[in-house]
Formats: sequence, C-alpha cells, structure tokens
Amino acid sequence: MWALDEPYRATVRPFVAGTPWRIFGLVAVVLGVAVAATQLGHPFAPGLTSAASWSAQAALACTAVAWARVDDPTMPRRALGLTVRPGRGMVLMAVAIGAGLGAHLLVTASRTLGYPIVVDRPGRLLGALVYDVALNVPCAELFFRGAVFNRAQRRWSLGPALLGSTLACSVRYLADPALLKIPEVLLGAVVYIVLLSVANAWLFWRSGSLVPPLIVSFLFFCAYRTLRVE
Amino acid sequence: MSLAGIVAGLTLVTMAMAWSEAPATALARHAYAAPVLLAALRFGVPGAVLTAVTAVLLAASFVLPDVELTGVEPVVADALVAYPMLVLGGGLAGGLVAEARRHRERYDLVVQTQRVLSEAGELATALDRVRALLGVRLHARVALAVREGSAVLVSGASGLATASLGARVLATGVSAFVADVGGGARPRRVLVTPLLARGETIGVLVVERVGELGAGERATIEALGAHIGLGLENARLAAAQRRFNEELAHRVAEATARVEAIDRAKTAFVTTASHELRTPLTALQGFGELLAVRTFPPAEVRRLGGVIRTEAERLARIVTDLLDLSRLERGLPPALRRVPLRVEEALESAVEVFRGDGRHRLVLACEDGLPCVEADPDALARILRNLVSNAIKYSPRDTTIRLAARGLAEGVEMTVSDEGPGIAADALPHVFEPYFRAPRTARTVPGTGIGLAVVKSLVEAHGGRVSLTSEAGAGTRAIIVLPVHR
Repeated sequence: MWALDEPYRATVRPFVAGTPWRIFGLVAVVLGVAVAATQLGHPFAPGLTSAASWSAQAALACTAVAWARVDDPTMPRRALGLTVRPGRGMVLMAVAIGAGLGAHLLVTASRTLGYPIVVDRPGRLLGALVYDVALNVPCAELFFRGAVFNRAQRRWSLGPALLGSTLACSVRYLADPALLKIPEVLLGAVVYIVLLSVANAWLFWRSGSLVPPLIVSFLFFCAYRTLRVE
Repeated sequence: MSLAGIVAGLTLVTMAMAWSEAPATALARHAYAAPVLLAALRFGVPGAVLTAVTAVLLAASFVLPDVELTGVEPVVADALVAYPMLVLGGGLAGGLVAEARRHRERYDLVVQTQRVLSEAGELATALDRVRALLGVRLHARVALAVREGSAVLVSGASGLATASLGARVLATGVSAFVADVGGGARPRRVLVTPLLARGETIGVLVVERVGELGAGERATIEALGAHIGLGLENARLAAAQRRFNEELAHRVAEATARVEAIDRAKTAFVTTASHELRTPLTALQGFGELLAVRTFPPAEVRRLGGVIRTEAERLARIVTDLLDLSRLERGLPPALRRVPLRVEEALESAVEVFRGDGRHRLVLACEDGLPCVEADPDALARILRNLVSNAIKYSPRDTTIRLAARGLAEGVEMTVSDEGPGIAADALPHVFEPYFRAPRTARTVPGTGIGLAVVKSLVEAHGGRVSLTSEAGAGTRAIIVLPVHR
C-alpha cells in the first residue's frame, strides 16, 4: 500500500510543465503569415492556410508527446494511454457511440438544414478520410484526451478534466478555418463536439486507453465527411 | 428491467413525437420526463443526463425541421425550453438520488462497521475484519494503521514507513488526498484520513482506488474515520476489560488456592505443634512427678534435672519461634538489639550446644581474621541453632555436620552443611515458607515447619541474605551472609 509503505514527496508540477513553446511560436508565425496572405489576397494564401492548419495540429501532437515525456519519463506512451489494450466491451461501446453520433448528424443535418449526403466524389472523400485518420483524429485525441484530459484528471478529478478537455476541444474545432462560420452550423458543431468530447473523455477515463476515443472520432468524422456543407 | 423501461419509454415518446402534426409543440415531449426520472432513480446523475441527452437527440430530428418550417414563434420557443429543463431536471434529480443513496450507504456502512468491531475480539482481528468490509463496500484497496502503545498495528500493508503519507496524517491528524500516485494507465487516487477517538488521532484509514474518488465519497470516508476510531476505541476498551476480567479471575483462583494451601498447612501445623509441645511437656510432667513422689540419689536427681532443663529449653525454643512467626505474619520485623559480634564465637557456641548429641560429628572451620558482624547475639544464636538442629534432624547417624565462615566483599558468610538425603528440587523453593514441610520427610522427621521461616526473617532483618542449596543424596548446605560492622 503506497500511502503506508513508501515515502511521500509532494511533487505537483504546473499543468503546462514541459510545453514546447518554441514549436507554438513557429506555428504562430506560420498562422500569422497565412492570415496576412489571406488578407492581402496573395495567391499562396490557401496553401499557407493549409500549412498553418497542419502545423497547428502537429504542434498539438508534439505537445502531447512532450508532456508525456515529462509525466512518465520511463514510458511516455503509457502517459498517453497507448499501452493499455481496451476490452471488447469498451470497443463495442465506442463503435456504438461513434456510429450513433454520426448517424444522428446525418439524419438531423439532412432533415433540417438540407445539407445533402454526397458520395459522388470518392477522391475528395478519400482524401478527407486520410486526413482524419493520419492527422486530424490522432492529433486531436492525443492532445485533448491523452494529454489535456489525462493531465487534468491526474491533478484534480474527473469533473474539471472533462470540462477542461471539452472546452479546449470545442475551441479547436470552432476555430478551424475549414468549418463554415454560419450560426446554425456553429451551433450544431458545438453540440456534436461537446457530445463527442464528453463521450471520448468518459471512454478514456473508463478504459485508460486512447483506442476507444480514436474509434468514436473516426466514425463520427467518416459521417461528417459525407455531408456537403458548403 | 430499468434499462429496458428507459429504452422503451424513450422509443414510445419519440414515436409519439414523430406521428405528431406539430412535433415542436407536441405535449408528448413532456413524457420524456418519465424515462429521465427513471434513469435518475436507477443510475443517478450520469444515467439521468445521458437519458435526457438521448431524448433531446431523438427529438431533434423531428422538432428542428418543424421549427425550421414554423420559425421560432413564442409558443415554439416556450416548448423548446422543455428540453434544456429535461437535462437540468434529470441532472438535479439524479444528484438528489445519488446524495440520498450516499447517505444510506454511509449509514449502512457505519452500522456494519460497528457490528464488526463489536464482534471482533483482539484489535488485530478487528482491523482485518473492518479492512475486508471496507474493501468490499468501497470497491477499493483499504489499509488501517492504529497506534497500540508505542507501536503501530498495521492491516493491509507491510508496515508504516516513517516518511510516508500515512505517518504524516497520523502525526498531524489532517486528511490528505493524492489525485494520482502514478505508475498506472489510470489515475490511482489515495485518501488518508485520521481515525479519531477522545479528540486524538489513534490511527489512519487509507483508501486507494483506481478511478474516481469524488468529493462526496471522500467526505463519507472521512466521517467514517471518526466512527471507526470510536469503534476501535470501544473494541480496545472491551478487549482490555476482558483481559482484566480474565486476569482477575486467574488471580482470585490463585489466591484461593494459596489460602486453601495455607489453611491446610495451618491445620497440619496445629497437629504438629501440639505434638511437638506435648513431647517436652510429657517429659517435664513425668520427670516432675517422679521427683515429687520418689526419692533418688543425688546423681540421679542431677541427671533428671538435666533432662527437665533440656526439655524446658526445647519448649522455650518452640514458643519463641511461634512468637516470632506471629510477629512475622502481622508484618512486624523481629525485635533486634544489634551489636558488633564475632561470628567465630557464635559458631563455637552453636557447636557446643549440639556437641552432646553424640550421633553426629560437628566440624567447625573459620577463616582467620574475620571481621565482626553487626547482629543481635540472641538472634544469631537462634539462627545457627535452627540450622544445626535441622542438619542433625535430617542427617543419618555418624555423618558429619560442617560449620564454616569466610569473609566476603559484602559481609561474612556462614555455612552449615550436612550429608543427609537432601531436599527434592520441587520442594526447595518453598522451604522458607511458613508451615512448609517437604512431603517426603514430613511424616518421618518431627518439626513444625516454621524454623526456616523464622531464620529467613531474622537474617533479612539484619540486612543479610539466606539461601539453601541441595542435591538429592548429596546433602544440604545453608548459607547465611550478614553485613560487616562498620
């Protein structure tokens, strides 16, 4: 029993300990250049915006890894929830939540706002899915669940961790330049991101593994990519 | 059953909403409250909120297109308020249910803990049982450390490390919570709370759980710490009372046995003493009558007079011993008149008294230049006569009784050794007790059983010590050490 057998040393590091600020500085510079190019109508503006988006997501992943190296120097993967194999029940639950949220998004969006479900351009759909699998979903889950939520729950408790990671996740997706900035889309995005974030945080808390949140997010984004929100 | 009811309720209400002409304002929306409340009652806050969110998501597919068609009219806006209220109300109801459940569990746990503590005998057993109970009820690893005198009794861990969190809480009496002790895929939360009794920290309760340990539960465990502390204190007092009762019963039994033994010894003593007193009295009476009624030649009269004197001295010695024993039993020391005294003279005098015995050889050996002791001459004479008399009584004919004296650092040692059968090992520790007579010789050798008790009291009244060594078949040796005159 740890509390009786082992000597106690209070070592609570600041929440942002180990953050790679230089990388964030670099991302800020890229973002600044992209915004300036967009404002000036420079022909490279779309490419710069895309580069800024990619670099911002890479920065999130780098931060998650940097925090993990500080929190668990011997096995950083463990600090990110990448060493635990989730149970079958957790995986099934993740599939159900991801598929349910995705299906609901498709039904509601197509019935209300009239955004159609379009799969007539497989190349574009495939590209979006590759982006989600390779960058969007892993980076987001590594940072918001593996790093923010995990760090917060190890310092405080489930409630603040859930709230913090949900807020951070909402900000990230609402600030995404790819999201259409119209009220009904933003409102819908908030609802789904909050639900997605809470569900993923709960799955991560329950299983200790990042795999269930990855499954939920991937299934949800699969559904999202079939909508033509333009 | 509850889960099926919740699912069925959500399905039925959603179907009613779907078939309604104006889903946004359909009265059926209020029926969502039923599965939400059911979920609150069964699963608490998470169940209620999850059910309410599911209800909102299910209704959204029908309500939002309707809102899109009709626009956000006041009636529609009013109807939409029902949905956030559903989430809020469900959460509150779930919270109240969870709180009520926590109180009930706390009460139930306290009752069970008190029951376990009242049934357990020893403190270690009580700790183990309470730990097992709490482990099952709290779904956590539990350990207890309780002060037991200067030591700490630990259950559920190998010990209490000096610099551990448990030791700190034990010293300060303030609860400590660690959100994560590290080393695991999920946070391992630890709460250490003091066990309180009489306003003091008598121990600590440690609860370690992988997963959440919320503020409400922590408050419950802290309250439990006070109850366990009181329970343990009661158990400890009850155990002490039991031990005390057992010890008292044991001592009473011992004392009763001792009193009975003394009573038996006194009864035996009365018989023996009567016999011992009657023998010289009979001699005195017989020889006295003889001298009174008959005429004897002068030489015979002297002989008879000598016998009468010897028997009278014997009688006087027995009576003096009895008087001394009486003082001893009343807790009074023997009356002494201590003067500087040469032990050689006292030993020679004792030898001289028994020289006329004729059946034993008496040998005296004293070191040269022995210092004087500070002793009462009469008392020392009685001590030596008692010892020599015993040696003569218990030794076969024609054996040697040896008296010796030598100087020691703390005084002068005098010994009286015989070549008798010795004293049995089991009887040796009791020979200085009043009325004690070794069973083997009690029937064959005359005596009152008070001589050695008187010797011991006299020697100790002088500040000296007396002991007896003996081996079966190798004789007995009495040793007296008296302090030197300064």
